Amino acid sequence: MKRFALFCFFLSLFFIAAAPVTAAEEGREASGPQDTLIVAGTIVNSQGKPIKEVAVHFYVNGVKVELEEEVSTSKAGRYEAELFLPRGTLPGARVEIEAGKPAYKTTERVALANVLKEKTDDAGNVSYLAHHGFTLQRAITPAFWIATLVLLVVYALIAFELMHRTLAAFLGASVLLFITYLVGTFNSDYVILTFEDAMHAIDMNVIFLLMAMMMIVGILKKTGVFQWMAYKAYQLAKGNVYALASILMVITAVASAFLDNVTTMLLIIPVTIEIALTLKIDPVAFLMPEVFASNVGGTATLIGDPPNIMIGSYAKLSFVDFVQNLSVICAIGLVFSLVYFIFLYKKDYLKAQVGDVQTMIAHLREEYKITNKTLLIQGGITMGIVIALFIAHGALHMEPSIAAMVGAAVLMAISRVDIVEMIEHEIEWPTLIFFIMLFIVVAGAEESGLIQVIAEWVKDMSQGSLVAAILMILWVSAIASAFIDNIPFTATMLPIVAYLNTVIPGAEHGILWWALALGACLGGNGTMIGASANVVTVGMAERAGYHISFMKYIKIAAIPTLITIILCTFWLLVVEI
Amino acid sequence: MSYKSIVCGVTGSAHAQKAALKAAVMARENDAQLIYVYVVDTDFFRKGIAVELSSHSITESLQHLGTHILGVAEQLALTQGVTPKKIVKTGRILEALQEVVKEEKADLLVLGHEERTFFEKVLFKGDVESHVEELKKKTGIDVSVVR
Repeated sequence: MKRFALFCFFLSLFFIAAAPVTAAEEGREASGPQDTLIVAGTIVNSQGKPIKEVAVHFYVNGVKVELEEEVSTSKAGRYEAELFLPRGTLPGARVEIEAGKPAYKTTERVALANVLKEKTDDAGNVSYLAHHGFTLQRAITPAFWIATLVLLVVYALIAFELMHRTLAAFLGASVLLFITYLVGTFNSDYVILTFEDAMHAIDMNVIFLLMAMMMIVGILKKTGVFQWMAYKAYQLAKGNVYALASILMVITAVASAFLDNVTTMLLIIPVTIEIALTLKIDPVAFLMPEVFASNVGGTATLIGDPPNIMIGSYAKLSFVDFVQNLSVICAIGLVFSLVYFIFLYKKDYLKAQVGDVQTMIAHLREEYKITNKTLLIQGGITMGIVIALFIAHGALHMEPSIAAMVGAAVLMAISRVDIVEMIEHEIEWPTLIFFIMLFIVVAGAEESGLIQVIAEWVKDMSQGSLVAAILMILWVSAIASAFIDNIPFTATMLPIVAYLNTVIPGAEHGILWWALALGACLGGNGTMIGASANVVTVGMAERAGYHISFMKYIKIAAIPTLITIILCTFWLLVVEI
Repeated sequence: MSYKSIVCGVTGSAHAQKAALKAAVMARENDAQLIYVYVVDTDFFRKGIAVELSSHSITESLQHLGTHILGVAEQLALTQGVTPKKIVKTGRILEALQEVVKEEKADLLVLGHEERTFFEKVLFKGDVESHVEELKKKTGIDVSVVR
């Protein structure tokens, strides 16, 4: 009985809720024949990019048409509205349209020029069609200045190490959203970024790819394989210090192309220092070539360096695209830097007291053996499958993060590694949160129009020349990345390069992406703060008692960095263009 | 003045190795206990310049490095006929050294001199000399810096 009563209650609720809708439908039908005008169109910005959430209003003979639902554009910038007017209103009436969105200038009311009669139905209703597109111009609102200030402050906090970069980005993102909802609710000029837009701006492909690769590397490093490779380098070199330096560079470059540079360096540095101390030479003579090779190797692939991951995801470039366009120039750069460092450290290498090579090999074999062979086999096979999936991801239309995630998940399942321990210790949460917050900060700059202003400026500076644009992107990225974190720099540059690709003749094939990748990744070699791997190397060397000063780093690294960027310039202008 | 327990902070640098040797000589002359300490200080990574690494990974790597560096210093001490006690301590250098001095009831702390530029002093939070007085005050023992 109770159930029946409940059923009746909900049924009556349904009829009460449905009643107004039904009445409205009946009202519309009861009012007699109507003119129906369907208006559609696309709204873009001055760069031709569609603008979403633009409110569109209609006026008939100067009177605003009140619609049941506000008309606004979709993600593709499309809008479509259906106006129900008294029979005979059209085609004689003057129908006007206007569009507006915070951070854009509201358009003037524009009269629809061509209203075409489509059909008349049996009831006498007449349908009309019209189309009108808009180009909205940016407005410099308070939101623009706030977003600009927040971006600059975040950059400054990171560049001058005034606070941890994750906290700096977190603070910036929070301020943008807080102002949007605190002030923007009352004054749309303060709307910088909505929560929905902020969530949409987070590139989860980047986040999941980084997270999954951290897990895979976290498992692989438990096997001792990195240290074992350094021991193998010593064994292969057979006491020849030049050969040893070269092999260490190549191993570091190859490992960094597939794993993150920082972990590669972190694992290879202790064994390198041990070998150097045994040879009685300054470990810096091995560490500097290694870290240089790490940054060069990391540039060669989609997963080698965070800027490449960001570029690949944003521009939908595949693993194979990166290998085809960057691996050869990276290999050339590696060879040049190898020769340079061997000449630079020739005197140090000559001083090496090689001594009893076989004893040293036996010692290293004992100290740096593979600690878990089963895990290494499992990890090696998984890594191979993940790389195969990376190669195939373009054909499979599969995001690279999916390949890495399935690899990480399967590897953890078969190796029975403690998932909680992995999540606690191996995933660098501050880095992932940094990326998430950074995407929001850059989205704020993009939504408020700052990125568009910069993009227009770069376009004007290059005067539409592809060569000038390549040179600007490559060299500005390289110089900037030597002194500021290349991750926020790349995040800011992504929409700028995307725009340049659409307006500069010849850039549509994506050459500017390669200029950005080469500049952002290789430029970091220039100073000790240019790349995280450099910081780890300097810090580890410092803790070992081998001091590399800021200026000493520049003295050592500036020339090979310059050489590699010049090589990249030729590569882009001669081979890629 | 004679010493009964000597603590020496070591790294792989030439100055630190020199300090390790001098501490070994003093330990032999005073018939004192010799303690070599390597401090795993990840403060530079956490606060100096942010990197994509947890302190856990860095600590593991530096502990391994420290063990090797202590081994090299041990060889020096053995040349003087002294067998040192080796400690790898995790924490901030100054605090860690104070703790070891207290735990080992040391009466002398020996450190190697490290040359620093102004920029590096800011980046690495000071140098050995700038902390000698602080160490003397906090530990209440002699602090010797070997150049």
